[in-house]
Parts: sequence; structure tokens; C-alpha cells
Amino acid sequence: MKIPWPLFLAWKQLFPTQRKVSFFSLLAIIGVALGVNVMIVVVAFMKGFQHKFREDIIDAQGHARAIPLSRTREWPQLQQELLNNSEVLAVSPYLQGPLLVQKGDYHSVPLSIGIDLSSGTSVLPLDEFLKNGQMRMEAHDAVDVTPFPQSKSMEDDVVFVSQYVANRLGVRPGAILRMGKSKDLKDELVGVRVLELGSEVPSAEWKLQYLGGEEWRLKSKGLEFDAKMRANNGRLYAGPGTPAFEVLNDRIKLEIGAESTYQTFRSSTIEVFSPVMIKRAQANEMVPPKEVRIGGIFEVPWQGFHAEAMIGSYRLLEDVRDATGLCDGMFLKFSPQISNHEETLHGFCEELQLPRSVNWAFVPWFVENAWFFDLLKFEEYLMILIMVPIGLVAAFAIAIALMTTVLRKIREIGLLVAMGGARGSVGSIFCLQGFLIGLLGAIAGCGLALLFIRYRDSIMSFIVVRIAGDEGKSGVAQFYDFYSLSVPYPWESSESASTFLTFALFAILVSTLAGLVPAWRASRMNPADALRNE
Amino acid sequence: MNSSLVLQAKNLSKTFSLGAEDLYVLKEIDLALPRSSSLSIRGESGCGKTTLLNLLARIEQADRGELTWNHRLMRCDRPATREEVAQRASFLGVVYQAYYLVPELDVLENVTLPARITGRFDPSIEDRARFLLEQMGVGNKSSQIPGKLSGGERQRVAIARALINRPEVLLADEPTGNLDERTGEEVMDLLLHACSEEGASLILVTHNLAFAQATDRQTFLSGGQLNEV
Ligand SMILES: Nc1ncnc2c1ncn2[C@@H]1O[C@H](COP(=O)(O)OP(=O)(O)OP(=O)(O)O)[C@@H](O)[C@H]1O
Ligand SMILES: [Mg+2]
Repeated sequence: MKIPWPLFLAWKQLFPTQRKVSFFSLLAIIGVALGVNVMIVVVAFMKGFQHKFREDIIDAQGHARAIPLSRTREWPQLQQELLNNSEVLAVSPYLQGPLLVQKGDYHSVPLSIGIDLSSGTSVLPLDEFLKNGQMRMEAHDAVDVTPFPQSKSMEDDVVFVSQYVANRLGVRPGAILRMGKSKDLKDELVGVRVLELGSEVPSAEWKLQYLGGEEWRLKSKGLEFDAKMRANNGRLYAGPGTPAFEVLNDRIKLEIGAESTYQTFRSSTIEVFSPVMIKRAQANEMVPPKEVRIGGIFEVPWQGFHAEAMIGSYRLLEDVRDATGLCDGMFLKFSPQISNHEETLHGFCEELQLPRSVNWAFVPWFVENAWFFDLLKFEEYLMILIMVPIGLVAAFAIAIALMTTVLRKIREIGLLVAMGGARGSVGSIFCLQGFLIGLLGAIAGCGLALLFIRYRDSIMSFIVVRIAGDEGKSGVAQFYDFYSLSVPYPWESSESASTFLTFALFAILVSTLAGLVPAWRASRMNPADALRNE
Repeated sequence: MNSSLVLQAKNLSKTFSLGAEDLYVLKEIDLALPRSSSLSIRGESGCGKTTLLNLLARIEQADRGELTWNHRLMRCDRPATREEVAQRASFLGVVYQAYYLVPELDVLENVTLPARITGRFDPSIEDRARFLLEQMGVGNKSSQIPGKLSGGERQRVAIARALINRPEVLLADEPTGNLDERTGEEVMDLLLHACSEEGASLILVTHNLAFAQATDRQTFLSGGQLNEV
């Protein structure tokens, strides 16, 4: 294959024979590579954020909500109709509104959501939220062994509150600590693990003793409780009001008579007032507030979710809001075919709404949160707006460097023309140099960006530790959730591929254009004057 | 037109404007170069020798005049056309006082560069380049870079490069001007020898009387006129 001679010379000026690479071209290529890398990484990470928020939002409210135009009792029929559609995976009705809650002198007005116990967790990953929100007690001679609260422990008199509400009221769910010196506190030494702690378990000291075989004994002096029990599939449970344990005897050989001591702390109770109750109270009707226990503290990763929030059972809300049989809306979850693409989801919601538009609106998640995504998009565009001039500065640097080369090579340029090179070809040497710099820089930049994406967690935690220190790391990481930020590779998503391609092409275009001025200069030169040049 | 002439110039005139006044460098110069012959041009510094070569190579535009390369008749008062440029690449070879080797290329790549420009580059060209370098006595330097060569060696490489496309005319502008006397003689011998070997006609600009006398015809440029000596 014959290489066109201007390309040959352009290449050789960047990579001269017998030298690895010219200093100028190395710098220029690195410059372009860094620029391309930064642009790709910023945009890819912004997309990652969008993706992450999207997941969080869907977790917090499902793929869509069916909202009745007025409070309705007609929802069970609709729920059934929707569930008959094979694309609908879950439908969960909810009641929602502010409730006044009180603990002693402290009060709060959380947005309260009553969810259907059976279908609610199929839409909301409540267990996940509870895990995120759990707080541990610190003690010198004891360790907090409270199991994660479970959404299934929600009853009509048990609620979950957000961290904000918990802090405001100074409430917490029940806790259980194992007493003893820290070196004895490994599960393996005790041979049992706390499995569940019902919110009804009172504050007390408990002793759990191994009697041999499958026999165990749980007693509490303060409660005058003493019961023998047998392990049932490894589960030890002495009945309501006591903690449940799990025997880990496959891991340890228990000694007969071995015992360990636990201290339980009763979960806080709060009083719930509803607007209806307050109205009745004003009419001098005596209405006692509803007492509920705190089953757990949750944390919803979606920042747009109300900070002051409470999740209880549908029936609790029905009761305190005097809304028997009513519903404020339904959380919907669809099959991936529908939910993966916003257009399909939008179309599907419209399809569902059309025959029912008199009574119901079907609102997809991204419509409800459009403000937020518009904000993210705006930030992304702002970034590009900032980066493009930086790219142009880099282009100027390349143009200047190539211009210097042209000036340095004036006599050579004259000679090339004298040897029969067409002016256009001579000029194109410099344009091609710009192109090659752009091309190699873009390739290197894409490679760098891949490395960045590959090692984003290590890079991020390195930076975070440097700036925030080890202490701050957990806080920052929790907020940004970098450890679960998904940034797809270009071969995994067409969106990512187009990001890579766009910025690579941008870099190539800009540096080719940067070569254009020097090229024009060179081709316009009078060869006789060029040869005379000193 | 005499077909045994490889290059012929008629009535070439060139003026440079120096602000207010004009500098008449060449006045109606006639020149005829038979095939496979050599011609030397001497003259005082600044008399227009380089300018004349530039006009003959169509690198510079004349005020008036005509020029024939082989059978192509050209008007010199206009810039070189695409075809003329293309023909120049194979018709002419040029050697200058300064060698103008491309520093990023090694010797072999420098010598074969004109063949790349005319699109004739292929492996056989490299063989020819090695042959020419051998002839010039720098056969062992073909993979060196120009920066590591002596002045004499560079000029030999430049001559090899000028000959690579088998040009019919070689224009040499003080090719020994930068060399000491002995090296200059060596290079000049090689140049003359290679030209007769290759059948190329030579126009040699030089200040050195001995070199000038080694050519078939000697001319002297003064006052814008070219006179046979
Ligand atoms: N582009 C130009 N503009 C103005 N004057 C020029 C230009 N090029 C050459 N000259 C003038 O034309 C005259 C002839 O120049 P030229 O280079 O042809 O001389 P030369 O005979 O080759 O001299 P030397 O032996 O020193 O190389 C000089 O006086 C020079 O100053
Ligand atoms: Mg001169």
C-alpha cells in the first residue's frame, strides 16, 4: 500500500526515524488525551449519577403511580384489573398525608405513608431502607447485636420512621445488647445469634443457658420469666415478648451449662394524632391519640423523598385518617420490557390511563421527578459549556505548536515545493499532523477513560480520603454512593458508546482544525522566498 | 525548436521591487541547454544566479519570457500550473548550497522522498537510492539521520536525492559553497560523474573557476545579462 507522502511526512515529523517520539507531539497527544479523558469521565459519571438516582427513585416510588382524581373506594377493582395485565408486576395501594406525632414534649409532622402489608414490599424495598437506617448502640462491656428490623415485623401498631423524625423525637426501635468483655463477644464463642427482636419485647436482662441436647433455657429475673425451650430448625423462641435466637451449633461445640447474658431495650412508643382527631378534640370530644411502637428507622437513598417521613400500615392510616376503604394512590411496578425505556413506560401509562381518564391519572416516575432530572441535565450541559472552551484552549496550544513547526521548517517547505510537491499537499502535512495528534490523543483519552471507569472506586476513595480523611469517607461515600454508582463501558451501553465517540470525534476535529491555519500558512508560502529564508 | 535541447529559456526578465525603485536582476536572458550537457554560471554575489535558477525551475514567476522543458512550452509570467509542478518533480533535480535534508528522516528516506512525491515509491526505488548513495561514497550511511553527518556527507546525500527520479536536468546552486576545498573537489567530481552517468544535464552555479571550467560551457552573469565565456 502506498502511503500518501504528506501523511508519511506528517507521521515522521511526529515520530521521527530513530527517535521514539518528538517532545512536542508527546506533549500535544498527552494534552488531547487528558482533555478527552476528562470530558468523557465527567459526562459518564453524570450519566452514572442519573442512572443511580433513577434506581433510587424507582425504589422509593415504583415505576409509576396511579393517582385517583378524587379519593376513591373503587381501587380494589382497578388493582385486580391491573394485576390481570401480564406487564404489571405489582400494584400496591397507599394512603398518604401528614400526621402529627408526639413523644413527650417533642413532636413532628411527618409525611405518613400507609402501605398494604402484603403488596407494599413488592414495590418498595423497605428492608433495604431499614438496613440503611439502622443505628448501633455503643457500650463498654457490651455489644449491640440487634438484628436488622424487618418490614414483615410491621403491624398495625408498629411504624417505621425516617432518621430525621427519630432524631427529632428522640425515639428508637428496640435494641438488644450482649453483655461481657469484648474478647468474649464473638458469636462463635457463644454459639447463638439473636435472630429477631419484636418491638413488643420489654426492657430487661436475659440469661440464655444451654442445657444439653436440643434443650435451652431463657430466664429473666426482672420479668420473673423462666422458660425451657427446644431448638426448632435451629431457632430458639420462647414466645411473644421474648427475643428469638438462632443456634450456630454447626460452628461450635457448646458446653452444657454455658450461658450468656443479654440486655434488651424496649422500643419507643409515640402518639399519633390525625387532623380528624384534632378537629374532634376541638369539638370537645375526647379522642385518645393512637399509640404506636417504633419498629425501625429507615433511610431512603433518594434525596427527593421527604426527610420527615413515616411508614405505617395501610390500616393504621385508614384508622387515624378516618379513611376507611379509601386510597390516595397505588404504587405500580412493571416488567422490564416496559420500564427499561422511558418512552415505552410513558406509552404504557397512557394506554392504562386512556379508558380510565375520568377517575385516574397514571404518572411515570420521570414525569413526577422531571424537575430533578432537568437539573442534572442542566448541570451536565453546564459542564460541557465549561469544558468546550478548555478544549479550544488546547486547540490553540496545538495550533501554536504546529505554527512554530511551520516557521522552523520554512526552507524545508520551499524545498518540498521545489522537488515537485503541490502546495496543497505541502500544506496538508500540517493539517494531517493535527489530525494524527487528535486521533492518537483521542485513542489514548478513551483508554484513560476506560481505566478511570474501571478503577473509579479506588480513585474516588483515594480522593475522598485525601480530602475528607478516613472519618469523612463513610459520610461522603454514603451520600454519593460511589460504591454502587454504575458507569457502563461503551460496549455495554449505546449511550456510553456515543459519549466516547462524540468526544473522540470532537478532539480529532478540533486538532485537525488547529492544523488548518499552519497548513494554510505553509501552502501559501512562495517557495523561492522560503528557500531564501534565514 | 531544437529537439536536442532539453531546456530552453527565451527572453527571461525579472525585476524585484524594492519599495520605490525597481531592481532589474535579469534582463531578457536567453539560454539553451542541450541534452546531456553541462553549463556553469558564474557571477558576482547578488547578480541574480539563484534567481535565474528559480526561474528555470518555475519556483518563481518572471516578468516576461518563455521556458521550454523538453517539449512543454511555458509562459513564465504566471505561476506554475499543476501540470508544471507535477512535471517538475520528475524533470528537475535540485541541489543547494545548504543541504535541506529533512531531519526527521534517515538518509535513505531522505533520498527516496522525491520518489514518494511523484508517487513512484516502491522497493526498487530503495535499491536505486542505495546504489546512488554507494556512488556518492556514503553507502554505509543509509540508516543514519542527517544530524549525525558531516557537511560533505550531507551534500552527497542531497545530490543522491536530486538524482533519484532520474531527472533530465540537475540545477546545482553552489553545491560546494559550504565545503572545504578538498571535500568540494571530491563532491564536484562525484556530481559531474553522476550526471554524465545518469545522462542528466547540469546547470551549475559556482564561484570556483576550476569547477566552472569542468563543464561543457561556461557563462558569466553580470548586469542582468548572461554571456558565454
Ligand atoms: N524576494 C526578493 N525581494 C527583493 N529582492 C530580492 C528578492 N530575491 C532576491 N532579491 C535580490 O535579487 C538580487 C539577486 O539575488 P540572487 O539570490 O539571485 O543573487 P545570487 O547571484 O544568487 O547571489 P549569491 O552569489 O550571493 O548567492 C539580490 O540583490 C537580492 O537582494
Ligand atoms: Mg545565490
